[in-house]
Amino acid sequence: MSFKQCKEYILMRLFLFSLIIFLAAHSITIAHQTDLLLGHYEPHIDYVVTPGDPDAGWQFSISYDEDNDFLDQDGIVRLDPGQTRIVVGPESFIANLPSNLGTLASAGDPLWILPQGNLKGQLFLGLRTVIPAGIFQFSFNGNFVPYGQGNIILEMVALSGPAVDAGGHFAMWTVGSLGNSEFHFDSSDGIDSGDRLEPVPIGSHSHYNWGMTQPGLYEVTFRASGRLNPPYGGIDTSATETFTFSVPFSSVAVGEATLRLGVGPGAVAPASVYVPSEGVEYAPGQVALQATSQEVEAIQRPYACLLTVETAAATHAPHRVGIPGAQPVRFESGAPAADPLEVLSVRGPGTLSRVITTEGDHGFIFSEAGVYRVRLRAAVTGGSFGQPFELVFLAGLSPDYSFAEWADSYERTHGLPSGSFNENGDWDGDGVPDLIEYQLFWEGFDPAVADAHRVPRLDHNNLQEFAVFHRDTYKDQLNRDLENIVMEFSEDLVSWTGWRDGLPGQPLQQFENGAEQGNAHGRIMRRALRLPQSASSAPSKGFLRWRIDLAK
Amino acid sequence: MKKKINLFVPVLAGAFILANSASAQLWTAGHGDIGVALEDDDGPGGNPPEFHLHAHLHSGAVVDGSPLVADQEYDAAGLTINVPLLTKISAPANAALSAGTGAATGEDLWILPQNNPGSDPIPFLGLATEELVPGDWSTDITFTLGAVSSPSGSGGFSVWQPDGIGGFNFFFATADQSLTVNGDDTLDLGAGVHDHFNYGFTEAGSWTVELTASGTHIMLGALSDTQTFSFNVVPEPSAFPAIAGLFVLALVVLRRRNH
Repeated sequence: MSFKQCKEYILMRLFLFSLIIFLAAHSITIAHQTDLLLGHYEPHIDYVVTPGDPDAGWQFSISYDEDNDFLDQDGIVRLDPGQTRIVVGPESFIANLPSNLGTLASAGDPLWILPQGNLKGQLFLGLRTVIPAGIFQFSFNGNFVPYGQGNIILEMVALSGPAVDAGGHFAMWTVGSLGNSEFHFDSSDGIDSGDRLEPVPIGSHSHYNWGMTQPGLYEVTFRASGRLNPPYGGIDTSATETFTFSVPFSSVAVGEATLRLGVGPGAVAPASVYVPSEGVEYAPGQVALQATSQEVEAIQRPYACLLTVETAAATHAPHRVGIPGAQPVRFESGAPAADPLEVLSVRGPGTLSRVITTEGDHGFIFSEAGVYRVRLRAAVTGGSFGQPFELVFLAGLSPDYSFAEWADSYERTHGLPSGSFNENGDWDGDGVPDLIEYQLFWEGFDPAVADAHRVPRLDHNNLQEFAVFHRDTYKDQLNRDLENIVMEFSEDLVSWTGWRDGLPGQPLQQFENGAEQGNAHGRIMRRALRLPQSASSAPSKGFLRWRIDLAK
Repeated sequence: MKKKINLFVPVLAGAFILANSASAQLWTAGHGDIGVALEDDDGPGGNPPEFHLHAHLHSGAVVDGSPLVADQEYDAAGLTINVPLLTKISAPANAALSAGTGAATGEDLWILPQNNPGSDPIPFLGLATEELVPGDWSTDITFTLGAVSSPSGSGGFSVWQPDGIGGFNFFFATADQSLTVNGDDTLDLGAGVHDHFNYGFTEAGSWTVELTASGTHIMLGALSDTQTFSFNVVPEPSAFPAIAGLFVLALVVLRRRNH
């Protein structure tokens, strides 16, 4: 992108830190959950000689290299696999596989692939080993010879997690120059002795394709092994570690969903949107409900969404986006009123009419296309209510609706002439440009209302989640050739840095991290700016701004 | 990871060295990259740094028959990249591959591979921007294919990665640049990275490939450098060169025995 193609929208907040002292990091670190969504990382295996207890010599991590030189051991930073999730970004989604891919997927299937090549907008995931030469024997097809520098073996020995429970599969393979695939790990034909990468050279760094067949969380357990050379005991040694991969759900319910209502002191959330076909349950602020053309009560409706209202869910969904824990969203006290749902307000270009079907579902019927914010609350017998919540409906719009479609919807909502909102404007004069209000839609912005208070707040006391916001990966697909929204930080108002494709930073420095509250990710992501925490690198003051890079 | 054995390699490498120019050194194995760096920064008041497209070979890479003991940089004119006979195949029946490489089914195609050939005597050639500081650049670094000279004048040169699901992403394709990812024989890399690709050649002999690297530095503005890299694609041994090569080796053996 050239400077002409950049727009810097200065949404700055001055803040001062009190310097917080933390203990120095360990060699394998960090003590906080980290989501990796862009950048270059590796499942990483170290081994050092540990006399008397050879299995203790293994160490697994997810590493990155601060100096980008993968031929030496300088600059390697190791993250704890137990606290790190590898998250698959939107550019890694293949909606319709063009042809069969082994037993993993068939033509027409969806598939998510972290690719072997370093492609824009995609996590570049390799495999790295740092092992001194001569410790291990050379192996080939399970036969060992004390020869050369030696190697290890890596096997996939177990696969679990909500995505796997739902039938998801995991594979890792290389593709040759002619496009021929060689699968090393593949759960789709069972996990057995064939799920083996051998030899894995010591001191190696190689890249692979990593594929997953369904959204959700995958816990992949690898076993590293090798036979020590005679001076080190000549025995076999091994260790296992589990790595977590996450494929985000769509954050969209198409035409229908189950609306679960939560009421009472023990309610985990005032509402959730459950999509039974996918087994996923969303917090209202991380899902769009598409109102589609469908028949409701024998009348064809151009924009309708059918909600089945539940107040006594027995269990939680296996996948949860934005909802913590395992407590079902339900009435924890009181009983639902005859009509358990009260519409508080509707903001959108047309009107909403609610039709209760003979099956008892709630048909949300919209009069014209556009974006609707509908504020609701649960109604309890006796006249009390649950906490208000907001559902977002997209009538006749796909979730990747453009700025022009968004502007058109809000212009009709407010009776404004076409062209009132534009990419260079700030119609409501609140200092938040229209383009940022579009990108930060999930913070509740309305371009015709002065609502700068919706700019994500800063939490000076929480460097882990210094500023939390929702990233809509339909509006910003994280590919630097397309439009991006970047939260930038500066200590001096001169040098600004922000997390984005092509410059995704490093997790122990300034970093945009996941801040999800459930066990799954959605395309509408809860994200947070993380600031450095070590005594030597923690900033004492700083500035924050939002920036839009237009499509290349 | 399977080992490939080709007994002709020493013969052909020897034959090549005899034919190569005295000034350019021959890279025959190991890992190296064509990359860019900002070099020779004289600091304030001095000459600005030079944006330099060059080859960076890593320790262990084999140059003129000897492994490098440390990383070594080469100007484009000082290095010839060997594409050994070991890399030659008959193009398979794959329309997309043929369209991008220019090698019809059954025709000769030499490929420097994307995947690490390990100890095989094949250069493991990447493209790199890892000597640049990522935050100093407001754009990607774009590699643009310029003039390509092939032995016959009509050979096909191409650079691609397989897409992992049966297709190919071509970045350079003299056969048809409209098939390339950007449609114009360009390849974008972010600053501070390096990646590997397949390099296809459709005929044996001496090739030159002109590349331009360009990008926008936040302080220095738009920068670019154009260099011409040389490749030698090793042919099938015809009777005479093969015999000559064996003769050379035999002489070497005899000379060693005599010492």
